[in-house]
Amino acid sequence: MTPVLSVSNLTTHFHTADGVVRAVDDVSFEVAAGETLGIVGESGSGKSVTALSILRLIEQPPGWFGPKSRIELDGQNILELSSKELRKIRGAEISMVFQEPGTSLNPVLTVGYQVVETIRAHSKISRSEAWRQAVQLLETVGIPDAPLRARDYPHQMSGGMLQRVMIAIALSCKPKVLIADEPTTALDVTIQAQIVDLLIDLKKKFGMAIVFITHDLGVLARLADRVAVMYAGQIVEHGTAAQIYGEPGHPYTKGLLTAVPRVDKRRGELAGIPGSVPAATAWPAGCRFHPRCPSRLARCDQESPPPCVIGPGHTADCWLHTESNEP
Amino acid sequence: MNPTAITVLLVSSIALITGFERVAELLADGGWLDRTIAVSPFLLAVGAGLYLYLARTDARDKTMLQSLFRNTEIQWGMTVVVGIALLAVFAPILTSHDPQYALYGRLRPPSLLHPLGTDTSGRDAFARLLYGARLSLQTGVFATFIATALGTTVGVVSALSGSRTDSMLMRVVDAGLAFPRVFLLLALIALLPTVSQGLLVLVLGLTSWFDIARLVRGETLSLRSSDYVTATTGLGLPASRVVGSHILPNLAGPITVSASLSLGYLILLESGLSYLGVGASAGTPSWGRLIQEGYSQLRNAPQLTLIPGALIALTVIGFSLLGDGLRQHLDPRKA
Repeated sequence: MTPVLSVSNLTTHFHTADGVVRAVDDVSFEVAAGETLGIVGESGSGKSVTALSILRLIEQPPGWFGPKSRIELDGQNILELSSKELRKIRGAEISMVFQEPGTSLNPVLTVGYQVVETIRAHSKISRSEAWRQAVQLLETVGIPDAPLRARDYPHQMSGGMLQRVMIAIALSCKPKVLIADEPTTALDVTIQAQIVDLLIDLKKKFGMAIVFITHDLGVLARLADRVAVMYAGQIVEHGTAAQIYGEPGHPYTKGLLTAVPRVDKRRGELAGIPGSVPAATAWPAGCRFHPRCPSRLARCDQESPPPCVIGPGHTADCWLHTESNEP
Repeated sequence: MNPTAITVLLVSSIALITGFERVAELLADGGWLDRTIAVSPFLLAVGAGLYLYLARTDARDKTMLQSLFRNTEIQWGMTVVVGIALLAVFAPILTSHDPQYALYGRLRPPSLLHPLGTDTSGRDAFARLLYGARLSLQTGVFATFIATALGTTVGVVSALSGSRTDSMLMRVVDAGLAFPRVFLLLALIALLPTVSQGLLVLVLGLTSWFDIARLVRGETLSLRSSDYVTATTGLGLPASRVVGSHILPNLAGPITVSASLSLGYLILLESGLSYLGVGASAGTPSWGRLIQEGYSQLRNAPQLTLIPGALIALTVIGFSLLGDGLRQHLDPRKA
């Protein structure tokens, strides 16, 4: 399958007073139409910066993209577009749902107006026609009494409803790629499940590719075809959902999986990964995970590991796999 | 009961009763402006009466206007401001005297013909007070309008442009805030023999936009980094739409508050300047000038100074109450 979105060697740094923040370092991945790629990792691992980089919502300066970075949407490098071309793509071909539905909508405008505004930014249709489409979209994302609720202001809706509105806005121009940056994090567990169901449903209906960013492996399991695990600005393991959940190759992935609470297994204490993600201004030398790694080798703090193929379409950047599987 | 509506009803009715002959005169041979003014008390009295009647039967706060009036400070601030504005608007009805006509006896005591007596030049003091209200309010309103428009533009541009333009504009604002405005205005009289009202408005407006610019810049900066502005940018909205429909509406609150506060202050400043002899040319009545003219007769005819002084104070208090009330009302953190 040819990918709609292909990110290669994406490097996003921020030049700040405290030094260079290397938020994203040499990240590559692809998504095909109708496919869902999950990007998972702890806070501070560079997930959101990756998402913002794809839409080029990083302010430059302080932001800076590496010279080899390419973000190709249908073969067009987003990083080389003029601001006018960029505006045409944003929202129309590639769209984004943000983490906090409560703050991602303008409090002084009705939700219907905000959907209409996006529609009209990308297609020349009349106000009333756009309003009709907006109401229809709100119905599609499961807002009851859509014609009435479209006239509501954001504060009159619940978080789950607002996230549905955000999804409606993001899908209003039928984008090829939808980037969802922790869309369920700010919601209750029951609402999370509803939003995930909605996304699965909408993907069938609209056939777009989804890049779903989360720190919650549980949410991802229901949704993702493939999963990329991010740590310290890099993708450390990449494979199909079955591979990642079934035979995780990287000690970090294993750590994340044991940290997920499970109802089907009785266990005394919930295991965590000791320590936290180091500061992005000074990543550890060698493998960036080595200070927290339970199975670290002598060479881990010297050289960074290459990606090793450990299964069909399954790679992990770890020295544990190099002897047998060096590509 | 809404005190503002009652004030409108009361002032309009008084104007109609006391100035009935004037209304007839104005309607008969006034220009279109005079006729409009002559009709306005009828309309306002009927409107206010209707509002009071409807609000009586429906106690719930349904409209935005009613929820605005639940705030006591807004209620009273609005009452004072509307009351004084009506005095200014109804001036030709409330008095038949010409504020410039100087052929009555000098310093006559208050009487039915001259409710506040006559001034040192033999002009009707009541007429001068009413027409002075027009000038003071006009100057304040137009100067505030200029200051707000300019301040908002500079503030938004400063916040949205690069760091270089931003710091340059903000240094201009710093300089403007540091510069003593009264001296600039005094220097102006030294240079010009007469300062027209238009010029005064312009100068007041051009020297009062600095704090609004700073306020707007700060608000815009925080709005710009808000999630929904990032979101709308990410959805491909053109920058003009992002500013027009996402940033400006959210600025309306702080701008309104700051404008109403600066209105009171500008009226005070205009009065101070008229008192010092800048501003309206010698004959034109303005509250500050009335005080200056009557000042020498403080013992004989205190009403010439005290009443304009009280009205200045009342107006400033009115606008301050209004601004303060609006700030409370628009504060999202209020209970």
